[in-house]
Amino acid sequence: MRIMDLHLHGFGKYQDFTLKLEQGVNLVHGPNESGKSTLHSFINGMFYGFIKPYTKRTLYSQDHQRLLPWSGSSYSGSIVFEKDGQIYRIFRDFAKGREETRVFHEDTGEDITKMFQNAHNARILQPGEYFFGINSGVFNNTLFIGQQNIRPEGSLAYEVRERLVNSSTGGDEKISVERALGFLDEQLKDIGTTRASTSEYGRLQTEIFDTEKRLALVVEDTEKYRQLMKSRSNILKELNNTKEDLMNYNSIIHKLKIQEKLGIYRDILQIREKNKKIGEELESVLGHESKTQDDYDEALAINEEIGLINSRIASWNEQIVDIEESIEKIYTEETDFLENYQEIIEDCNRFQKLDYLAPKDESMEFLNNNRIKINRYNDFYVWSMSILSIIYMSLFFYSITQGNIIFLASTQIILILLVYGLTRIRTYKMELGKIEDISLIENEKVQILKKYEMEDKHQLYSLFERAKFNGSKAEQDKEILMEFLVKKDTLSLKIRNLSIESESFQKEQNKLLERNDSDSISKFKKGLQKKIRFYEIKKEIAHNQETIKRILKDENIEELRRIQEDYQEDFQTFESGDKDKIIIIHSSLENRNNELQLELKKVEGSLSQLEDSVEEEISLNEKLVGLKETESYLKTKKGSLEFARDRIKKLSGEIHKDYATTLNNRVGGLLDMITDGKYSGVKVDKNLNVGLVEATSQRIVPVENLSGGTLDQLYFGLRIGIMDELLSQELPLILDECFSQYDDKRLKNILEFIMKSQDRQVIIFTCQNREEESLHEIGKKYNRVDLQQI
Amino acid sequence: MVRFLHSGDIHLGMKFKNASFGAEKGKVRREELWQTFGDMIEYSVKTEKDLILISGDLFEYSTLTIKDIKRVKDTLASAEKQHIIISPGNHDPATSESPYSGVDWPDNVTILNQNGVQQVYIEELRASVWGIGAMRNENELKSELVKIKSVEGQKNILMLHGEFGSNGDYPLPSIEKLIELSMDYIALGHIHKPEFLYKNIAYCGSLEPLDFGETGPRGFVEGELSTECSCRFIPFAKRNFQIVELELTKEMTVEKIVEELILSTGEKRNDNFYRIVLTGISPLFLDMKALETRFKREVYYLELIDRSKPDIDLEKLSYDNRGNILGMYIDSFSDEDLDDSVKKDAFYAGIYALLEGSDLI
Repeated sequence: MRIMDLHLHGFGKYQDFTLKLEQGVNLVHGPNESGKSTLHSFINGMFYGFIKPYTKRTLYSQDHQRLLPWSGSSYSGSIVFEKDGQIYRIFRDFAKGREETRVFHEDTGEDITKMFQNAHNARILQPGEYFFGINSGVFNNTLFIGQQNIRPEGSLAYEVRERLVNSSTGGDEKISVERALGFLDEQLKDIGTTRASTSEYGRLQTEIFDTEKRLALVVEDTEKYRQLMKSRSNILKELNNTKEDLMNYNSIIHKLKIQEKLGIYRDILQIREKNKKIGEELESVLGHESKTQDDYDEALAINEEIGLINSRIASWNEQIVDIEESIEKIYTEETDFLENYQEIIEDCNRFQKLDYLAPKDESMEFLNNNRIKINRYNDFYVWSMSILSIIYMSLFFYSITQGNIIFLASTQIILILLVYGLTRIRTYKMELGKIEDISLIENEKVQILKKYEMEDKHQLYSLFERAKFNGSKAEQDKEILMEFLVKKDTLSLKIRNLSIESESFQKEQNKLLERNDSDSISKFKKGLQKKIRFYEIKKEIAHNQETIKRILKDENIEELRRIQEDYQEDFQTFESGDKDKIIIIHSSLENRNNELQLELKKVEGSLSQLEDSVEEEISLNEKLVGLKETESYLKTKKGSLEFARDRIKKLSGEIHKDYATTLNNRVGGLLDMITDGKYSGVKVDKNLNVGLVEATSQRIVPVENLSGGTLDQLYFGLRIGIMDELLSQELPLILDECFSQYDDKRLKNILEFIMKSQDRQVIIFTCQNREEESLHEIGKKYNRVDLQQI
Repeated sequence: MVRFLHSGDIHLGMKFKNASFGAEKGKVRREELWQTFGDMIEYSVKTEKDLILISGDLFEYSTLTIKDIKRVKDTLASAEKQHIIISPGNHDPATSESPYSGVDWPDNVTILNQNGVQQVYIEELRASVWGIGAMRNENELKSELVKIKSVEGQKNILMLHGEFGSNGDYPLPSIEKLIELSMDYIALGHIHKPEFLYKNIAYCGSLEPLDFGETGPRGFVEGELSTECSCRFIPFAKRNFQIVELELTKEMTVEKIVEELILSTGEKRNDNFYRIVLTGISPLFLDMKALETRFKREVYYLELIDRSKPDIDLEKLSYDNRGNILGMYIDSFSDEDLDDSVKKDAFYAGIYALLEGSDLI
């Protein structure tokens, strides 16, 4: 094939520009920015268009925008080329909305566009596919060899390697397994893993973990909540029962209270009755209030006095009567009266006295005898004494003159005898005297007896008694009478005095009685009693009122009365023992009720505290569901990406399985030719490391280790070779600023290599002169086209 | 005439653990259930209903708190003139531990127990309400139903909680058997979709829908019982769940797709939960994130599911790249089910990876 003309009606910087190309080498020379790439792209565009081929919707490739004409409205052009002896023209309008592609036989002008309607229903026409049998990707990769530094990967070795890798499959350079895998791995990395905690997936996992942790805590609370709900339910049940029981007991207690009240009321009524009765009595004791006890006591005392006085007077009067009676008696009494009683008395008294003096009643004879006796004794002693005294006197004088103490002492004995004797004499004298006396007395006594013709003293004494009696009696009587009379007088006087006193007492008494409005003491007393009773009654009434008040306490009598009316029914009465029991039960029920209420409050308090937890649990669960869904979504996405990656790897692996042989088959021959037999084969390991097999040594030289020149050759050669093989024809080779990096030698080398095929049209775009120089050196003929700087 | 309102399956306090909308919306949703419940009671008061029937699942008793119970009690107490009969469901059975037993319910509320059929006679309405709590055993339920005899001269209403067909957990006898009972109205609960099974036998459905399984209108049933039963479904829910399919074409921009969404969702979309399924061919490298953001501005809640296929001419791509890794890759998926989203995503991820940087797509 050979490109002949390029007509750019409006394309990039070009407007109505025509480029004519020749067979063989064409050198299109132009300074930088002269639009070489534009021309290059034009050719591509003419054959394949700028619309992405695989989408139904019109998507424009980047070139479309890039190559918009700078001015003018036209965005179109045509290309004339020769293929298999036929000359064709393709006309294309690139403008959006105006897209059109027409193919003509240049010779005949026949529109043969129809023939190129793609059997695959491609939206846009890609004549290149028909003419070349390859897609634009491949076309680009084979026909066009652009500047190396356009490629992102950079190194030539990479290029060669890629080329080698792709070569067995048709060499669509734009499709790179490594890049594809890298792209997928990027996406996988973006999603991330559990371990990559900042990645989306990692963060999600952390959030899930945290949410689950929090949920576990909250679930504890919600479980507690459920249990507390149960407790609450139970408490409420029990409260209900307790309430019922309480109600029952309350009604019982109410009845008890009523009963108590009725009792109180009854008691009050009773007391009132009492008061009523007493009140009646009160009537009868009115009016005595002014009476005083003191007055009464005084009056009584006076009365008593008067009484006493009166009784005294009475008794005195009685006494007077007695006295008068006694006096009477005296006068009327018979007595055994002795007239000479006084004489008798005197004599008897004398006798008595004499008897007293001589109680023994000794007779005269006895006395005479005694007298004689004593005289005798007396005489004895007188005589003896006289003698003794003379003795004594003599002895005494003698001892004194002699001075003999002992003798003196012994004479004292005589003295003692003397003394004794004298004493005896005295005694006898006395006794004589006594006898004399007694004789006298006896004598007298006898005289007295004789006088009254008594025989002995006893009779005398009787007489004496009689006389005494008479005498005393008479005396007595006299006395008595005197006494009586005196007494009588005294009494009368006393009576008189007392009467006066009594009168004054009476007066006083009367005064008191009058003051106290009484007729008499007894009336007074009665009156006082009534007064006392009056006050008693009053007190009792008051006391009763107090009692009523006390037992009434806070109650209202009216109410009580009403209760009495309402509760005429006879309801069960309780023993007092029951009452206590009931009260105890009631209070314990109340306690239980309160306990339960407290418990309920506590439980409800806890419940309300935990309410938030219940809500939180729900939220957390929902959140967790959402998170897990996202997790699963990411997992699925990862799964898809991994699936794709694995599939590509697998396919790539399959490709590479027999890659070596395929590669060798395809490229081996080429390699031989390109390297002039230096390298005979290619080895690719599983990591796609490419190495060339040295023909002679069979050593494997990694592509990276090849020299620049060799690489060049490989690069170009492979491209061309593979292309030729694929297409089984020779396409023009369009080189766009390929060699700017090359040194002269290398340039020459590669140019030579390329020129080997004589028939191939080669179009070289360059801004330099070196290619020209090299061509000159090689001696190759070329067509030079100059592009102006537009 | 007895004016009644029949509701149930309200699930106050429930955990949205199977719903997809997350904790924040879940919390708000929970509160909205309370709101609507309160509004429903207010409505009953305003329209002077005589009777409010709640046919089970008023609460979610596993997540209930005392605060919640008190709240329900206060709400129900506000309908002083209404007779409220609550029949327990499977989510709020009236066991001794249930929330029903721990509270002093106001006078206007009667709660049936779990011990078989109960009859509540309401004198001033001359109506009897019969109710049986949710029962697992079909035979037991049958033997309880036998005890029900419709009374002459009264309105007779029956409340049941369960589903038809013996495969369910709480099976009900056949509709024919229920019709035979000659009730004036039978209030059913347990199924969240409102439905009239007969002219006077109805599921009231959930008051507010609870997840994307409950699309369609939700509310309660109201009616009047005189010589006949005249009743209807009243949509009352504040929010609905909707599943919308949007078919994409390769030319659509984000704005155009949003326009489509607006057309498909109607004016109430700001209040509703949407699950949008994208089908068809999506333009290549459609900015899903931007789309999602824009969608989210239009609706209350959004779940976006992408079942669309990107705009890639796989045939041509495969053909053009026959013999290279891309072509092989595409061919290797010819046996895979590309409706499986994992496989689909893998497939396209690989293609994009292989074409990355090539400017071919």
